[in-house]
Amino acid sequence: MAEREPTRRIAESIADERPVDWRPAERALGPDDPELASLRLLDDVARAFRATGSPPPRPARPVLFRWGHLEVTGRLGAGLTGEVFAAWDPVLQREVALKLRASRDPASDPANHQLLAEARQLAGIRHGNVLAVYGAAVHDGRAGLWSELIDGAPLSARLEADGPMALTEVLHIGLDLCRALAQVHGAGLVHGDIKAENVMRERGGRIVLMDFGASGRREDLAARLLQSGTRAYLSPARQAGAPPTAADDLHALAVLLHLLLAGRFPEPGTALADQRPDLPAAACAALDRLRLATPADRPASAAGFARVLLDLLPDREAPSPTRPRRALLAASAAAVVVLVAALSWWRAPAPAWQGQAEFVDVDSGRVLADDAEVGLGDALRLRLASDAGSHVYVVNEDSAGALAVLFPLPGLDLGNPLPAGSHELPGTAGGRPLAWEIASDAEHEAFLVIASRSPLPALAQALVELAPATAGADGTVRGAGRLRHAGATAEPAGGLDRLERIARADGRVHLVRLRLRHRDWAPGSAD
Amino acid sequence: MPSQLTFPDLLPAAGSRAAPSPTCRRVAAAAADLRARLAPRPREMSGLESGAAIPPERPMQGEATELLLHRIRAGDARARQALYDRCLPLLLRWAHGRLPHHARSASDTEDLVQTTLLRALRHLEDFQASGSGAFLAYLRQILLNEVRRELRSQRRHGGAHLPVDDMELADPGQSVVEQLVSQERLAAYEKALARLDRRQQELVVLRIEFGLSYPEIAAEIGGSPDAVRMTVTRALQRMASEIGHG
Repeated sequence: MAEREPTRRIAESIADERPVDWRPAERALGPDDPELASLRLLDDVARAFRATGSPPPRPARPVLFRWGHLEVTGRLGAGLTGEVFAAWDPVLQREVALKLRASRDPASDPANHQLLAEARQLAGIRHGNVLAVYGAAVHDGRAGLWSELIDGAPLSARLEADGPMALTEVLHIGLDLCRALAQVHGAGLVHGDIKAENVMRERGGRIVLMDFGASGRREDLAARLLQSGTRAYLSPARQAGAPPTAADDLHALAVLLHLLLAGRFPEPGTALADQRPDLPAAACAALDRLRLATPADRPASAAGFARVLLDLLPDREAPSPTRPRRALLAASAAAVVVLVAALSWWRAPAPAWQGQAEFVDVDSGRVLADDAEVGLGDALRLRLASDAGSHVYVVNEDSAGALAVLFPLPGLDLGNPLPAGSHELPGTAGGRPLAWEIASDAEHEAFLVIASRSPLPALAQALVELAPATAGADGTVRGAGRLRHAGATAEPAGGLDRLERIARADGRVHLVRLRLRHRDWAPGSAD
Repeated sequence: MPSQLTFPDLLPAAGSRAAPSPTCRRVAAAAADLRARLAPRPREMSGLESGAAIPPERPMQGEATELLLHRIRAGDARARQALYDRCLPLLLRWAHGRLPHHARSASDTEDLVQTTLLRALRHLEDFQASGSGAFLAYLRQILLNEVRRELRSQRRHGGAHLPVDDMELADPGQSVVEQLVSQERLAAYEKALARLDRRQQELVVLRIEFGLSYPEIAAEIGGSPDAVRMTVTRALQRMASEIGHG
């Protein structure tokens, strides 16, 4: 009966429409327990129904061109083999990423068939840590594949920006990737190209494995042997030309974890402990073993690999700031796939901390998606829900680069830390409900919401400097109903980025950024 | 030109409910560069008191379905309309996710939902005879059967034809939920659902697929919200065990 407890809790969370904490059950039953996989399915189904119930508004961007039923609205990037676009899928009612092959001769291009074959295989896999592929087709002579759109950055970019990561964070990334690989391998597929560039960290923290299709073709392998960065991930067998196997994926994963911890690729004869003497020796040794042992001597499956990583996690994880949140489920469209949703969810560093943040137009009640339109006089509120107490900071920047603190503010009834539960910011003052009102006609407004389990002293200081005149500076009286501040210095554009950096340096935080366009704006109107 | 900030303002509440106070307007007008400010908006805070999620539309308020059904049987046309008005938005929302899209246009789906609902309301004795305790769950089953029959007949007749160079991978018979979850996995869900007893099935459908709250479900089919929650949780556990070991 005791064994049923973890699954009961999960079933309860699904029934309650709450985010599921899978960890206790994974520990109790093992990461590859079939019942857990089934519960994930049920959670996915529940989320999918919820997502279709309240589709996000279509982003108001012009359509560049149509490809099949997709309306392409922007180009995200280009590579040797093709381009990636953002597109609106009117059937799924969400933004998707569309990868189009460069070739214009679909019949004779074997890569097109490869792309379709890859998509066919991937379309069956739905897992929160694997990029969800919705379909593939050839239209107008171009082969393409569309998938969920991830709002985030690859781990390689993260590593470059922030340097080596903390052990707990890396272990959680490793566990998420093990979950992804268990699905992939379980479907009889091999990823073949696990590397930091192919693992996305979504805004909000979800880890997503993408870019399949390094199929083991000779030319692919030759190309990768030429790139030292890519070569480092290849097992000795792969370097010798063997086709990729599941074991090679696990080897590459071990190399990736080393890279994330050490900040550089492993060198022959070097142990992880040499590069990270601050880490527990046992953990370093275990990770070295995963990387260096011959296939026969290391776990043969992703689940086995996950068990090793689980054992390295501290038993009772302190709510350390390095802890990434659990993955959101890909199929849970609403929570993940679309920009709007990515804006409105975060997963927290502390074990059970999960929350939601979204800006709402008070008059219409509509949730404001990125790039939504607002006008003079519109009143906004921020809906927050968090299952733990949190410190929340809200800052606004207009297109002229002027920054303003929206929360916390003197005189408000609400202040940091906010207790667990649901709130609407700015909340009330003396019991009267307040809202933020758009009172400028700048081209756009950007908002930054920062949430943290612990106080962020450096950020708080920066905010004080930003708007130095809090109550009293201009003779106003706190709590008397009239508070005015003046004299905050305008920051150059990009001020939100600076605050974001300060916040990130301060501790593990969760960020929501939103940009709204002024419907009334016309060039010159601000003068 | 970077503007000077006069932010934030916290102004006294105005007497009127709708408009900001005159003071507030004056300040805004005076500060031409004022970009954003806090203005008292003395109106009711929209809900979020209870749950984390945004409360969706709540068409399930008012009289219990049971009562409406009773009145319809007694010949009350307004009750029939009330039940129609209550069920339609929920069914449309559900149909948007669960019925295939490529195969039919959005208006076809709406037509199908409306026709099904009207027909069911005209033949309530069928609902009674079905032994179902939840009208919505009953309607859902009719719609699913309808679509499955249609898809089967389409496949028999060769299906929709696609242009030669359009090698579409996505199955035109797939619904949004199928695309999100994958067809195979949704089939596993359906199979496990079908193996639950009738009441559990209905509760799962109302909660998971229609997104009704526990109190709404309790009002629909009797029992307490707590009991509904417990039944749904147990049903999900059973389904997980079915799928996991089946």
